[in-house]
Amino acid sequence: MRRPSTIAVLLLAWAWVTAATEFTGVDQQRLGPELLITPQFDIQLSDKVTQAIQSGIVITFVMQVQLKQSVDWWLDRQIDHKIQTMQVRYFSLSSQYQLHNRNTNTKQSFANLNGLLAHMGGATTFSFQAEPAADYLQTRLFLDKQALPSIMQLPNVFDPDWNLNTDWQVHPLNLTTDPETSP
Amino acid sequence: MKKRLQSFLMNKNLPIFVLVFTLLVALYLLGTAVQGEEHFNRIYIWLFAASVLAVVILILIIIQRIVWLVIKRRNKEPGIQLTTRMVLMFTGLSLPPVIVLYLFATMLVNQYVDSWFDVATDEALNDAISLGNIFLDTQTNTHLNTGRDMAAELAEVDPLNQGIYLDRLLDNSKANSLTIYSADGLLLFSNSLDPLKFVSPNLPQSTITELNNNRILARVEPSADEGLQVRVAVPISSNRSINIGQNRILQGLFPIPEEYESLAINIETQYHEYNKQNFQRQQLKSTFMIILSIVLLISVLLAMLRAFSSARRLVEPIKMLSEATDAITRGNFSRVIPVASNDELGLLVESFNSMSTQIATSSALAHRAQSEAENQRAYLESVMSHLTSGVISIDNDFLIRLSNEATHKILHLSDRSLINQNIDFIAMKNPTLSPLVDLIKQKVADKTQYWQQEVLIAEDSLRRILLVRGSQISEAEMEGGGHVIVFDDQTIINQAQRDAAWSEVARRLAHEVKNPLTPIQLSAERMHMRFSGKLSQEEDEILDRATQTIVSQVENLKTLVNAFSDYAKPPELKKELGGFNPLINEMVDLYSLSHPGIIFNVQLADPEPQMLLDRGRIRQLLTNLIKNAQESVDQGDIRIDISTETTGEQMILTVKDNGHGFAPNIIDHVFEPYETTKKGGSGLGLAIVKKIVEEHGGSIRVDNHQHGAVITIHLPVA
Repeated sequence: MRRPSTIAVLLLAWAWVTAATEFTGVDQQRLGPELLITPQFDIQLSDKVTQAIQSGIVITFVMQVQLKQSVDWWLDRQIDHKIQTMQVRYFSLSSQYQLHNRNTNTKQSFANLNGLLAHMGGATTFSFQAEPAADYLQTRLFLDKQALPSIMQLPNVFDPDWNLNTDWQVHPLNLTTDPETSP
Repeated sequence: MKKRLQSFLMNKNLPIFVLVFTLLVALYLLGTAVQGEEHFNRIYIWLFAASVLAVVILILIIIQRIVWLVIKRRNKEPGIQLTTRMVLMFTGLSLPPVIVLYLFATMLVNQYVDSWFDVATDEALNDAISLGNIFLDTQTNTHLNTGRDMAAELAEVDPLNQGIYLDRLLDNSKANSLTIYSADGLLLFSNSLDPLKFVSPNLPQSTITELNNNRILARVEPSADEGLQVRVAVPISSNRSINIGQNRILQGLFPIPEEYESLAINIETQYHEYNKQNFQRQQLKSTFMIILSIVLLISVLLAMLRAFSSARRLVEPIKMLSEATDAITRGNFSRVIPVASNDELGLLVESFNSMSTQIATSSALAHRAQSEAENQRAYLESVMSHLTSGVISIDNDFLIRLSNEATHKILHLSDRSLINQNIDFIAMKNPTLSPLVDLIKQKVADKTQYWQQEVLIAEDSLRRILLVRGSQISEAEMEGGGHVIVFDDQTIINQAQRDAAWSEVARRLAHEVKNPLTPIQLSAERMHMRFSGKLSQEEDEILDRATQTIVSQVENLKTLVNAFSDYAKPPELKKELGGFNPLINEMVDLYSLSHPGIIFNVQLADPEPQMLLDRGRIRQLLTNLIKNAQESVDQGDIRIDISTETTGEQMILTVKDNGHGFAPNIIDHVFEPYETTKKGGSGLGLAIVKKIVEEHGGSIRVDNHQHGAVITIHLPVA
C-alpha cells in the first residue's frame, strides 16, 4: 500500500512542491533500543521569506517523521510520529539569526542565515523506540504558514515563494545495522 | 429511510441548509478564534475558507435561482415578471452602496496604511539601529580586549590551576561567566556569577574551527533571558600547555548594562515592528481587500437571495390568485387560497376567497335559475310543439325569436329553423305567404296592440284562409319588446262548417223532398190506372206519356234524394283489415265488363300494405272516382290510370283521366256539393269521396295535369 499512498500524497502535494526545499537523505542510527533518525534537507529560502525574516517576522518550520508499517490493500499503519517545531528569528542589533527549537526550548545564534538553515536541515535528530513492526519511515519539512501573522496568511496561500514544503519522503527503515547514512 | 434521504437530497432548500450550516461553522470558528491570537492565527485560514465556501454555495444557489427564473419566464408562469423585476430591483439597490463602500474602504485603507510609513521614520529607525550597533560594537571591542587580557593572564598560569584562576578573573571582570574549552571544544572549566542559574555554555563548532586557526570571536547575541550579551572567545596561547600546540579556548559571556540593554532592545523591537509593518503593508492591503470583497460579495449575494425569497413570498399569493382566477373562469369556484400572512396580500387573499365564495353562491343560484328557466323553456317548447296553432315571436327588428312546429306545418315551410331569421325569410321560402308577412310587418310597424285578421293564401291548387292574431309585447314585459303572432288554418274549419251546413241542407232536402215523392208517384200511377182506356186514344196517349214522365222524374228525384241522404247521414262504418288492391281490381273488372270502351292502366303497390277499410264505402269511393273520370271524357277513348304506392305510413292512391279536367273557377270548391261541370250531375260525387276519405283518416286533393284531371288520396296504413 505504500505505493498508492505515496502516489496519492504526491498528487495532493503536486501543487505545493517547490524546488526551494529538497530532501537529500536520512541518517539512521541504532543505539540499543533507540533509533535515531536525522533527516537531511537542503533548505533554500526565497527572497520574500528572507526579507520577511530580516524584517523581524518569525518564521516557523515543522519537521515530521513517521514510522509506518505497510498494509496491503489498505492505508498503512502509523507506528510512531514525532514533530519538531523550529522558529527562525533575526536580531538587527546583533545581526544574528536565532534558531529556536520549540520542543527543547533551546536557542542557537548564527551569524548568517545559510548556516542556520544548514544546521536546521541536517542537525535535527528524532529519537524513536525501535519497533520491529515498522518497515519504513516518511519525513517532511514545511513552512508553517498558519504560524505567520494573520495578515500574511491570506495573500500567501497560493504564493509559491512561501510554499517551502516537501512532500512526504519515504525511506526504508534499517533497524539492524549500525550507523549509516543513506543518500 | 432511503426515501427520506432521497427526499432530503432532492429538497430544493438543501443548498440553503448547506449555506446555513457553513455560516454556522464560520461563526463557531470565529468564536473560537477570538479566544487568543494563537487560536486566531490557526483558525483564520479555515474561517476564510468557510467564508469562501459560503460564497461559492451562495453563487451556486443564485445560479440555480436564475436558471429557474429563466425556465419559468420561458413557460410564462404567472408572477414571473414581478419576480424578475424584484430581483433586478433588489440587486440594483444593493449594488451601488456596496460598490461605493468598496471603493471608499479601498481608498481609505490604502491611504491610511501608506500614511504609517514615511522616509523620516525609516531614517530615524535606521539611525537608531546604527547607533545601537556602534554602542554594541564598542561594548564588544571592550569585552574583547578584556577577554584577550584574561587569556594572556591564563596563559601564564599552570593549566592545572587555570580553573582556580578563573574565579579571580571572573571577580575582576564584568563577565557573567567564563569558560575554558579544550582545543576540540571540550569544556574544561567554567565559572558563573550566579551558579543557581548556571547553564553550561555551548561553543559552536564553527567557532572552535575559527579559533583553532588563531582567530577570535566577539559578537553580540541574544541571551537566554531574551536580553543581549557579548560572547567573546579567544585562544589561550600557553607554552605551558599539557598538550603543546593545542591551545585552550577562553569564552566569556558579558552582559550589556541593563540601562543600555533595555534601550537597545526597545530600539530593536520598534525597528522590527516598523519593518514588519512595512513588509506586511501590501499584504495588509491585499488581505483587507480580499476580506472586504468576500464580505461585500456575501452581502450582495444574500441580498439577491433575499430578493428571490421575497419575490417568491410576494408572488406566491399572486400566482395562487391567478390560478384561482383561471379556475373560476373555468367554473371551479371551490378553490380556496390559504392565507399565509396578515399583511395587505393576506387581506387581498381573504377578499378573493370571500369573493369566490360569493361567486360560487351566486353561480349556484344562477345555475338553479338557469335550470329552472331551461325547464320552463322546455315546458314552453313542449306546449308550443303540441299547439295546433302556429306561433311565432318577433322583435321590433322583425327577427323571429320563437316559432313552433305547427308554424312549419301551417305555412308549408321546410324544417329549417326560423329562429333568428328575418320575417321576410318566410316570404322568401314560400312566396305565397307574402300577404301574411306584409300584414305582420304592417301591424308590428304600426305597433298595434291587439289585432286579428284573416289572410287568404293562394297556392297552386289550394286556397287557404289563415286566421292571424297578433299581440304586442311591451318593453316592460320583455327586453326590447316584440310581437307574438298566432295563426290557424281556417280552411279546414271553414270546410267543416260548410260540410256541416251542406249535410244539414242535404238532410232537410232529403226529408222534405223524399216524403211527397211517393204520394206523387202513387197518385200518378193511380190516375193512370183509373183513366187508362177510358179516354180517347189521343187523350189516352197523353195520359200515358204524362204518367210515365211523372214516374220517371219521381224516380230521378228519389235517386237524387237518396244521394243527398247518403251524404248527409252516412251509414256506420265497418272497418276491416285488408288490402286496397283487391277492391281496385274488383271495380276495374266490373267496369271493364260493363263499359268495354274504358282503357284502364292499373299499377298497384306490391306488396300492398294492410289497412283498416270499410270495403263498401271504398267501393263507393272507387265507383265515384271511375265514374267521374269516365264522365269527364267528352269524346274519344277513355283512359283511366289507377296506381297505388306506399310511402312510409301512408298509401297513396292516384286516379288520372284524359278528360277535360277541373275548371279553374271551381277547383277550390270541387268537394262542395253541387259543384259540377257535368250536365245532370248531382255534384255530390267528389263530396262523398272526400267524406269517405276523411272517414278513413286520409286526405284528398285534386289537380289538373296536361290532358285531364288527377285525384290523389292519402290513406293511413294500419
